[in-house]
Amino acid sequence: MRPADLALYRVPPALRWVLRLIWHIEHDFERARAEGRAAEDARRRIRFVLLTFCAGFIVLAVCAARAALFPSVERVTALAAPDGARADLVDRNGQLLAVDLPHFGVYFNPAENWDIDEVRRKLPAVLPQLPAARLERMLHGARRQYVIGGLTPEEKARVDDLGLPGVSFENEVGRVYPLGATGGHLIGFVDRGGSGLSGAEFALNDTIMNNADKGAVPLSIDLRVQAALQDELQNAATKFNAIGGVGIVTNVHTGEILGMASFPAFDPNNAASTPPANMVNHAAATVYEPGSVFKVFTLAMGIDAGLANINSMYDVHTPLVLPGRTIHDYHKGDTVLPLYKVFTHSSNIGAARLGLQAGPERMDKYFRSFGLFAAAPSELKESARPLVQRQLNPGTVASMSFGEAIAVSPLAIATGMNGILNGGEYVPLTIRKLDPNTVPQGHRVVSEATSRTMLDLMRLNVTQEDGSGKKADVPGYSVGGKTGSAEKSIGGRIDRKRLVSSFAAVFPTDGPMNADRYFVLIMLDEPKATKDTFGFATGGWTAAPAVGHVIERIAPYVGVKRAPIDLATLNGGGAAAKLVGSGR
Amino acid sequence: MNLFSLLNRRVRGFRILELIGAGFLTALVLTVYLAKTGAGDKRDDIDRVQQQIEEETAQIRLLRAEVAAEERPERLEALAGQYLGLQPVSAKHEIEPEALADVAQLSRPAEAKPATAAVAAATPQVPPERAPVAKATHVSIGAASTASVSTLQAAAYVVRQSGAPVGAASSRAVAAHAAGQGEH
Repeated sequence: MRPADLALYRVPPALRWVLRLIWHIEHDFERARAEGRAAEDARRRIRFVLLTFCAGFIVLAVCAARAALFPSVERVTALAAPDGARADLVDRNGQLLAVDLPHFGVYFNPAENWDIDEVRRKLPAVLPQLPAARLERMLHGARRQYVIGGLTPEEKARVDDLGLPGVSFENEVGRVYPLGATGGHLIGFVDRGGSGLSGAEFALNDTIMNNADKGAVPLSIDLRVQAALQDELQNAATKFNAIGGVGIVTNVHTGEILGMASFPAFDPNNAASTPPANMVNHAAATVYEPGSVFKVFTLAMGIDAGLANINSMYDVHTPLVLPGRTIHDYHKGDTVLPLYKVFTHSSNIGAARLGLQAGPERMDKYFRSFGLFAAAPSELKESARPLVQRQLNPGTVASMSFGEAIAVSPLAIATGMNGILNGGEYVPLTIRKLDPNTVPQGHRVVSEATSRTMLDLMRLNVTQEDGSGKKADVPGYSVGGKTGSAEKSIGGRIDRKRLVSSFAAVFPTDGPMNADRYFVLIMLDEPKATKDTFGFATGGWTAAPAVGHVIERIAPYVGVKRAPIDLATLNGGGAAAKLVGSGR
Repeated sequence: MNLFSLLNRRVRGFRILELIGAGFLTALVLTVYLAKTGAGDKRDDIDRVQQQIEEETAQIRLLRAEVAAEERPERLEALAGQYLGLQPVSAKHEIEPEALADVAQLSRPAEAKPATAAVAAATPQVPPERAPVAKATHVSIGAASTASVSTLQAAAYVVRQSGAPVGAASSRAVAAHAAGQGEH
């Protein structure tokens, strides 16, 4: 036996079989050639190649069958991150405000079901939110139909467990607002297709869509400030039985909105079941006659234009008679007042005289620069246009001087006041979080000296014995502010019992002009007097205390330190400030 | 023997050139097959990991939403008020560290009153002894001396440290509560 043959017996049996097969084929080739049958030789070769290819294809078929029957990656979609989602919304500190979570839509195909009574009986038991009329329409439909959407994984599992033929699911994206009603109006909501319909969801729709896979979109609000503002607004509105209310907190230098609340509150998770009236963000979308808070603008105009200083005297002892109307004061007994007392006594006559002194052209120029004659420039699409008289005649000028004959949104008031209180730069409000090093560029509306004077005047209104804003004072935070109590016009007639009571505050009023400073506005629509307020429902009695509570709660959050307080006040002092007068 | 004749030589009926070609082709097919199979396996691994990432991401989003809902400020405030009696710190309970001594001074009684004769008679005559060295930092309110009471009263005022006005709110209120100065 040749060594090569011996080697054949040493190889594994399978290989030995292959080698033998090759030897037989080779032998057949040799024999066919020796016998002169060349065609037979070629036929055998072709058969060999054919067998080889067949073997290859059989291997491929087995592999393909294995890959099809036993996939290595399971197609699990139950918790997969939703495609086409919107970016998360977070507050300025990264707290989650809105997030997309996987939801499911339910579909039903009547052609695949033979017992619709079972579906009619079982499906509503696990989907109580499914309207009966829609279920009936779906059961008698001709083709596969959408039943209901927005199911959570738990709800989907409950429906799936019923095992109803013809019921199927498809993935959808559901927008969830984990904070519920907190910040609901500012955050807004989206439609079923994922497009923003109100608030930041609408205002920043493109940004949110484009950032879906790039990270969260930060808003300017501080959740802690927002919650405190909303809570105090709710407390005040409930206490005084108001039909509506507004709360705004802004950084006067950057224009960032740190908190914005509207009463009644609104939970964007339940947008479909919320009455449309409750979904209105009154802070931006409603215009009010602002009342005496407008005197801040009038005095800023008068002082900045050099028409008066805080000691300029104004005769207020008799009503101001103008064509078509007579202007009275609520603070009785005043005769001649210096301008600062016109402010702290909230004298309509004094403010009207200053307005008339300025004249319509100057008032138009200043009020336009304060942004009071246009919708507040903000990303919020709800920002409402003001109601302004076409012509500024003397009667209109006098009325506008103390906040009548004009209706503006609280957002516009906040924007204008920021410009007066931040050193004189008008900066649009924003709901976007700005870079800490960014200083927004605005346009100058008043001088820095005028801004300083207005801060001092507002502080005086809170600290002076007969100031209308005493109830907003918070020890150590140097709060300043101005009350407003506008009588509402019902059916073309002024109703003296129905007020829009407000308090516009700034804190701290002391410190350099570029120091951190915040504006707070609380506005109550038709608050009712209580026994505690001695029959008054004015801004000084209703909105000012709420502003004080807001400031006391949010000051630590925005980094404003309480100034040292007299120890005598600490020990047994600190009694609640007593308001003298009507608090208008 | 030149290269052509070598390649043309037959081994078991096959030209060497044919054998080399067949071997090369087989090796090529095998290599491609192995490479494709390996790449497919890797792709499967990547898909599997990607799927796990997506599932985990979805779970994280879900958990973040749940945490945000649980940490709603109004909910925390209600719980803190209901179970701990906490409220925002008022001005009366906030003070600069430098003023603590003044507060303690103000809180100290003007002068200790002498014990009445009856009480003195009822008190057992215990010889004075050296006070033990304090080992624990805990102070029992019931056993606190006048000075200790002053210290606690001082502690009722919040010591405002720079940079910690917010986070310390709970501890401030707890301190005030422990000293009986908390607001209810």
